[in-house]
Amino acid sequence: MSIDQRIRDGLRATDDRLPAPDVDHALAAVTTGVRPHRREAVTALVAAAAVVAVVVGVLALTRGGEDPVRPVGPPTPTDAVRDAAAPDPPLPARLTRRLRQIRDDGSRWPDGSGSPSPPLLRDPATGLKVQLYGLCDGGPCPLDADMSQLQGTPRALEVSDGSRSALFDVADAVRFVVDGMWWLGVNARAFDGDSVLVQDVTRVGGPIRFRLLQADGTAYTLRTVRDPAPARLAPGVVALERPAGRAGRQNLYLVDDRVATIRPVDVPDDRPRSWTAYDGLLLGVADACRLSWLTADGLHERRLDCGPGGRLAAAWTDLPDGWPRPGRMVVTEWVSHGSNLVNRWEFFVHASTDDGATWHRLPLGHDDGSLSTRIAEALRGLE
Amino acid sequence: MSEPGESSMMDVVPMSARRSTQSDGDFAELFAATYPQVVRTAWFVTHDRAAAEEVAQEAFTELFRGWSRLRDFDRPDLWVRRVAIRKAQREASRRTRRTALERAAATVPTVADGLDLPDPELIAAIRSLPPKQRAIVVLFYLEDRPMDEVADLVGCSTSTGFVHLHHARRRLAAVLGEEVGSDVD
Repeated sequence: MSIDQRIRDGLRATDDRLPAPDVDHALAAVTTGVRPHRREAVTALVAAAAVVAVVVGVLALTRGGEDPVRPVGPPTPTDAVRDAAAPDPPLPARLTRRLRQIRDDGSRWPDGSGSPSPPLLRDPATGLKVQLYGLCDGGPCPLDADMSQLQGTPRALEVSDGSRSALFDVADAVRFVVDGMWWLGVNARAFDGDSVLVQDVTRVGGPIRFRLLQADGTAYTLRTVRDPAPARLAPGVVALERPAGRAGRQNLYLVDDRVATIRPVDVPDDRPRSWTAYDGLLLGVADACRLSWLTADGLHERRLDCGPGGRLAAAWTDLPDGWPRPGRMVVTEWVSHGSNLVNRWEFFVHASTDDGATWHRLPLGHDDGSLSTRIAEALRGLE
Repeated sequence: MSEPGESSMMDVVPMSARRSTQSDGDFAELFAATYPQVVRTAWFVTHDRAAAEEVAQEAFTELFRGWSRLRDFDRPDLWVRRVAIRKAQREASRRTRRTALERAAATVPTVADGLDLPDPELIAAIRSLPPKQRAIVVLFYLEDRPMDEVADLVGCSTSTGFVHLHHARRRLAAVLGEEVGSDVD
């Protein structure tokens, strides 16, 4: 039996066994606001609020998951920002004491211990870590705290690099977003070897604040400029999750290290909404087998020759060592033939070795668990 | 395009003080048609009947509060499913942490939720997946939804959903001793 059939048959058989809920009782509970509370006692002393940090990065080239987004091209040295803008004034001693109290007495959000939810940020490449803390009624927030209860709770953000750590104030806005996503009001991304780029909202419905925070306690607030920057890859271009927006939707920004500003990059709305950083370019896919890539020359687009119903993924799995180089791009196509039986899907890899001038569509066959190997073999055949 | 400094956050959906009989009837109709399946989907993510019902009721409560506006959506049923699935993922994450603590206290968690499961190994294997992958597997295999819709419901891009499915499928095959690539009967 195939794994697809085992899953499908097992789920359907289980679904048939699940007892039907009492619809009338539930409707009455919903419309009258009288719902049962199931929260059983939790045996642990550890309290951690379950939260959804809208931290979805681009697809990781090597891990097939989500990854922090780093600037592409030469990283913007934070020193340049430091030269152009004065750091934020030191926090008052009273606020610093308060932040320590939040860290020491509060909860980690989200709790990384045994949780599938990632910590807010942990960047192995630089050793930078970001941890958000929250305080509820002077202590840890209850495990079953509703997000609405977390609105306005005091928070602290800790940035550490393995040898130093510093606490920063962070906005306490928690808002309900219409598509069902709660947002904690803060996103963090690795920016360079010294700094994390943090977005937060200082008041409900207010503007987004962008700051570069460092483990030595230095903070630089970036001035936002509405005038968009040209669609060109340049030092300081970053792909950031749109705060509180639909997951997987990213916007490109340019952090200008000469004037300490952040500007949107002028990419039209119908272009890809998630970007993968390659060596020297940003690559994104959109519907209808449309591919876009941003280089120092500008925004390039191409519609690849997919099969009927073919869809593109900007990254799939491990690329062979040494294969990624400037000018090379890889995307994977899958053709489902309208079926949700994955082992009937067909896979192809599209690759270019000449800056996207020509593309090769290489068949991979079905997913038998060795697609990574066949992708590597196909790519080596182009060399 | 959106600009920096422009928060895309939406206002909290206000509770309408009064609703028309017609409006209430529409809500009840949608509720009756959608609630059971939402509960089932939530169960496959949380593996707990009480939690699944509460998650579903919380989602429908939010829909009810915003019904005067949300009823005009093209698919309010998808809206409430999305809310419920994401709540179920959060609940499952919370339970994962709790389970780790319970394991430390040598308390063995149960999977069956008191049900006579036809394929308990499969359900246990699904429970070993991260909550988002559980939701993707259920929406994809059980509800037979296209990946675009699956990704939208769980809150990720289509490409990311696809990769999650790939990893979930491989893990389930390994745990269950099934072949990833054998043909379908």
